[in-house]
Amino acid sequence: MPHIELHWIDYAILITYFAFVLGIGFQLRRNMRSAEDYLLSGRAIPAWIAGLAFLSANLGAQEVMGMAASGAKYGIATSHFYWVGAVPAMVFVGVFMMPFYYGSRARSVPEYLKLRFDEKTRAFNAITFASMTVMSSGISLYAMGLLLASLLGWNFDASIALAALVVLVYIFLGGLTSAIYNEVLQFFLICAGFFPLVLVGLENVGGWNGLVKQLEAVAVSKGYVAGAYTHAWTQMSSPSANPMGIEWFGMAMGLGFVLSFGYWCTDFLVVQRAMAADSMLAARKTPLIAAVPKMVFPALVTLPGMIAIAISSQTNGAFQLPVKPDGSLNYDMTIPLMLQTFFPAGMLGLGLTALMASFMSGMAGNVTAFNTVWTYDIYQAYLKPGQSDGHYLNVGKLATVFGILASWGAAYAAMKFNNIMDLLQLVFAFVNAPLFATFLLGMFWARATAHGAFFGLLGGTIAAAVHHGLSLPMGSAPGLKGGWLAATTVYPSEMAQNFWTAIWAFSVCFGLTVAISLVTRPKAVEQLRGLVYAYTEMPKDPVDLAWYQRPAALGGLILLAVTILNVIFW
Amino acid sequence: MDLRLIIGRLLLAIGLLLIVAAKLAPATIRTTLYGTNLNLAWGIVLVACGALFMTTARKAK
Repeated sequence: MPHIELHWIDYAILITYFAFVLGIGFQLRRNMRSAEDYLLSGRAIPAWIAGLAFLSANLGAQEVMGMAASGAKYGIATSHFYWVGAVPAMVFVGVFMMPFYYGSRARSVPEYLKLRFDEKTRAFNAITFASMTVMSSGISLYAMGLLLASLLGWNFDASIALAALVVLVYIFLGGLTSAIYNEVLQFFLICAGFFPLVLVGLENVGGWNGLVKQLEAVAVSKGYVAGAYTHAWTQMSSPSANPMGIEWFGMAMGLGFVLSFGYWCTDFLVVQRAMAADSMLAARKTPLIAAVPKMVFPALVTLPGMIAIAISSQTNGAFQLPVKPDGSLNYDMTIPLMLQTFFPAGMLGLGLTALMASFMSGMAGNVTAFNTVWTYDIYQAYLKPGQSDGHYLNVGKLATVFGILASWGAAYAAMKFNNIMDLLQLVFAFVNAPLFATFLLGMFWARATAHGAFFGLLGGTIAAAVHHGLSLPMGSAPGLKGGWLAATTVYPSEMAQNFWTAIWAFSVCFGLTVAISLVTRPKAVEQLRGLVYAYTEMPKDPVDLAWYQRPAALGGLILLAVTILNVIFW
Repeated sequence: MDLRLIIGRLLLAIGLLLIVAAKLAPATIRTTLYGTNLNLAWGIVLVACGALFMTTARKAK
């Protein structure tokens, strides 16, 4: 792919964005008077801001580019990551789990685990989570450097140094509030940058009907039935009938239940945004507000991929995705290629700014989650308890600097080990899937004990590793992709393998936690108040609150809407 | 600090830059959307959105 040449107007848009980002940090620095202000936003964020930040914290550029890549590779079935793999879990965390997170006054997800279970469960989660955030942030930085180097010809080292410096300045000055405000800006930039891309793309393929016709031809040419790229469910009866290589049970149970609930309900990176809200009602509405745009996001991020593959099938090589060294198409370049092809100077600057904003917000989200977990769940808990608030504020700031430096290092590690991204995805599946079983039992089953939770979590993680070691995606060699013990099961795709790894991890953790809990001593009822469903008074909505603003009703409406979307694109 | 004001100002600034780009770019390299200059059309949309955010913030104040 040839380098894109930027004009002065594109640079002007980028510089304008950087000025706003840094300006927010400088404006907020006066408000950072305590560790709670810095690490928890003083629990003063309105619901709509927390909601958009909740959504955007997950909307890093890897997600944006990855979903467009999946749209090109798998078609509309990619929407399952939103309609099945996100929205129901977001409703669940808002309606059922937030009362425990927010009501317990825990400052982080690991701290909730300490209150509900014990120190060892907290330590396990805090250490794995802190390591994952640094790696994830570093990979975000690496991906951005790589994209800017290959797309614009910018120097890799200078690109990541500049981005890391900008993120460092605005988080160091404004803490979590600054990160949240910038995530909201990023949300609007992505909408502003990608919506016209979809419109231009659709115009080029003859609108939605033209796109469907062209994708039907693509599906037939690849040996599927005509609707394989344009129907989300009809080809899910068998893994071989759809490009994703997964059947409906693996999709619904693996993605729709275990992975989705594991991520949205337990990952502190997103939950932190809701915990920063200014009231219990706002905290409960945070994921619900986020779920509304999440439902329609496939139109912004998946549709460009579908359009790209339709156009490339019609243009005889004039519009063609670049090819990887192994000869396969580089789907990750879908969005950059679309921007390069369809946007003139000006709009191109806006599109690239949206991408850079996503990369930096992805990094900032990880760093703010890291500095909170490090300060409260590692430093204060085990290294230096009982210090003044000012001390922990300074530690939080130092943790920000360390988090950025470690991310920078991780970016270079990612450059040397080209499989580190696959490894991280794997670690996420190993950690989040069993953790959801721990939370589900911890919040809704008072009999779950500390030993049950810890050994269940450990057993679930080991089960994930064993399943991975015994299975392999079709066409892969034993190693990082699996099969390192013995390839007893071969899955049609890597995604199918991931979903089933998650199902095994969840099931083993769930079973072990129940079994061990039944033979060990539970906590006294008094210690479980505010932490477990049976001993917690669920928050009552204000009497004058309109019915559609009540979390339960809003959640119901959202589930109805997402069901309708599934039916429309069935 | 009202975030709506910041969002409004950012959208307004980018919208104005796109309008400038629309006016300065030679006709041969303009991308059109259903016959309209894309930079101009989208610049106007962003300016309108920016103004809306700023008005909402001012009213709330």
